[in-house]
Amino acid sequence: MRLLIAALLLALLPATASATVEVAVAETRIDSTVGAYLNIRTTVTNTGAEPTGKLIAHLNVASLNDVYVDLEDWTAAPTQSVEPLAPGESAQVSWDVQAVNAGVFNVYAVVLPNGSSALAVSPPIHVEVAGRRILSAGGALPIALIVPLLLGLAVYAVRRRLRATA
Amino acid sequence: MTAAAGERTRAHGWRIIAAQECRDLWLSGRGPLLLFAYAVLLSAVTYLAATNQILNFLEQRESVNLVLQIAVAVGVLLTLVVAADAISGERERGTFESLLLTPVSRGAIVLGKLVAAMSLWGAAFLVSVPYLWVLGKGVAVVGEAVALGLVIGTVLALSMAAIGLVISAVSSSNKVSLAVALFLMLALFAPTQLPAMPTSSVGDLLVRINPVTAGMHYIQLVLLKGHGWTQDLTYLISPVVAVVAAVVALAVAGPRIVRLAGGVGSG
Amino acid sequence: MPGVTLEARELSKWFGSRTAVDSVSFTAREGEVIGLLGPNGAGKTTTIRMLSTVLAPTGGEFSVAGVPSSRPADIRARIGVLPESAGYPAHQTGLEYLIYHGRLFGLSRDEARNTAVKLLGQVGLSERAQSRISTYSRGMRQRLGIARALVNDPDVVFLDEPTLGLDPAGQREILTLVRTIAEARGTTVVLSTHTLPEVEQVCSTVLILDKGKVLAAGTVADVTSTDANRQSGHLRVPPAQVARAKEVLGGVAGVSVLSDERRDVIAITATDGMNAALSAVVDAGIPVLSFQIDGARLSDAFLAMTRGSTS
Repeated sequence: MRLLIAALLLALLPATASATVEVAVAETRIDSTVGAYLNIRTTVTNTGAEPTGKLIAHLNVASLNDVYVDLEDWTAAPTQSVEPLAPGESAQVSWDVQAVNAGVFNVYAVVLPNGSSALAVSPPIHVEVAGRRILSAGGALPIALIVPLLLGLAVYAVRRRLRATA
Repeated sequence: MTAAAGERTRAHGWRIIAAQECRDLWLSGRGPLLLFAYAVLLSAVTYLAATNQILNFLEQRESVNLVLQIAVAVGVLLTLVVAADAISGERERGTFESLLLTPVSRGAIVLGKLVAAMSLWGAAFLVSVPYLWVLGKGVAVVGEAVALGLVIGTVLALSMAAIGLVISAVSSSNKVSLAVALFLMLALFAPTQLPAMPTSSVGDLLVRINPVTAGMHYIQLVLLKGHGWTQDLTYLISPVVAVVAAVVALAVAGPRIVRLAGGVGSG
Repeated sequence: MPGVTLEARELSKWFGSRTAVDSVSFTAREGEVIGLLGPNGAGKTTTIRMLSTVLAPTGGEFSVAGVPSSRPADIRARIGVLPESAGYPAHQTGLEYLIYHGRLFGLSRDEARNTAVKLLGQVGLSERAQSRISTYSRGMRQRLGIARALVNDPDVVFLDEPTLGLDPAGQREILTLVRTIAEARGTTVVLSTHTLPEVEQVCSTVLILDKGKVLAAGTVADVTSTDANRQSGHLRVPPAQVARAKEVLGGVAGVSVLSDERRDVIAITATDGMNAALSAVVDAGIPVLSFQIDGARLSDAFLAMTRGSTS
């Protein structure tokens, strides 16, 4: 659906001839746990001889092991606009996505240049999301009790000292 | 007073005041009591966060982020309150005149009190470390959370302590000073509770110009969203500007506003 | 002749449009106890606060032990002050308090401790040195305040209402201490008070202030003689006749009715003897139950000079 909107936007924007755009990713593999946020960083470069028009960058998540993916759950803003790039100029585009499912995924970014040029696609980022690590509430309980207890004792000691010398 | 004594006063006056102020804060019961209340709050939040990890979809980093944000916010608030009481409170207790009657410079008095107020932040930060550890262990986030808390918390605490001292120095009474300080704190922290402010450009600007929201957002970006430390440094502009501006204002205006009577225009 | 330790020239202070101190000038010498006299609001505390550099003067200048007012920190190093209604940190002990202030005056830790112990002994607080100040009586706190004022072995000591709120025994102790400071140490003491017997007991010179201005300055004898012809006295009449007697006295030239100390006693001052006053009362048919001439005293001069402010 978002790709469709992006394509429509593309059609409405004025054409800029022969602009060529490349998309690079900062890392090719990410291991994470379910629920964690991933910062996907890409670099969009105009490798052509002409300046580009305004660009649309879009992130997508594809499951490699048939896990259901709803992109809306992963990020609220998969599509970003990129200001026009002069020849040789680059722009950093990043997304914060939350790994909401455990599984193996490919995450990639697509840049839609203006006019009739082809889509530019980044290399995929291989993302392996492990099952959730659960911290037991019981593990936090000793700290939650001991720290106030120690400080309470400190307060008592100070008060006692004050009373003793009064 | 000998020349050597005069030299000692000039060189070490702030240290003597800071040491005494720290003793007053920590041995008269007020500091430990505040820290105890702080620990009770962090205990409650930590336990609830740990429970929520099981019941709900709360990721471990989110728990650490939640506790760190509360630790920094409340720690900074306590620092501000102590700073806001530092001068106006002494005026009301009648002990400030004796301090003004010593050869120690007004700047040294302010610096000594600033250090004492910051000692509360230091202690609050140390208390928060075990909570961050228990929630973050296993996901290699504890070190990052502690470092973020130390850096961002110290910058925010220092700016708020300096602002608190200015408020305390110019306030006509201790009540006014504490009320103004608390209002300021609420005004600065309230936007952190608004949902998704940085998604619009105006919202992002508001987050950036408020040192507290900017600092908190930076913590969230690094700790929760996995950004690098250098990736969003622009969010630290306003906290750094705030701390520099507050400290410079205190250094410049200190000698004029640190006086026997508070209030604008009083002699 | 002892050297001048304190010199004020045309010292003035305005708070907005209100004049608190108006062109006050005086000098004080080593070992001298100078009484700063005046009714409430006369400008005594403001004068002391200016001389102790806590308040900046609006006009004029002063010097302490030869140090000009342009070097406030150096002046503070040479003076000791017991402020009016000074507060004390309740949780500190007397010893801790004095050591802290000694350190603020540049003493090393050991020097400060030794000085504190010595001073606590001099003001009679040795036994309570380790007690919290919150447990001290008002008199003990005043003595501790005086010890604090001496911690830097000052050239000039300012004591602002040191006997306020003390019982007669406490007042006597403090005044004895004041005299000792001046005599034994050769320190100049500026004693602000509105209790006249104190001044007569311990002060060598006085400065009478009213509404910020100096009304009289000099030795106690000098100031008293400026109003030598004035006599004061107390007239006792039946309580029912007091109002009428006051009315009659008010009509006699040169006679002033001062205040109602007791219901049946009228305090009066007269510039040309008491005969006219007494005759007027007798002529009016009012029985005079007793009559006492007080003679010329500092209090008479003070009351006469500050009549508008004290009545």
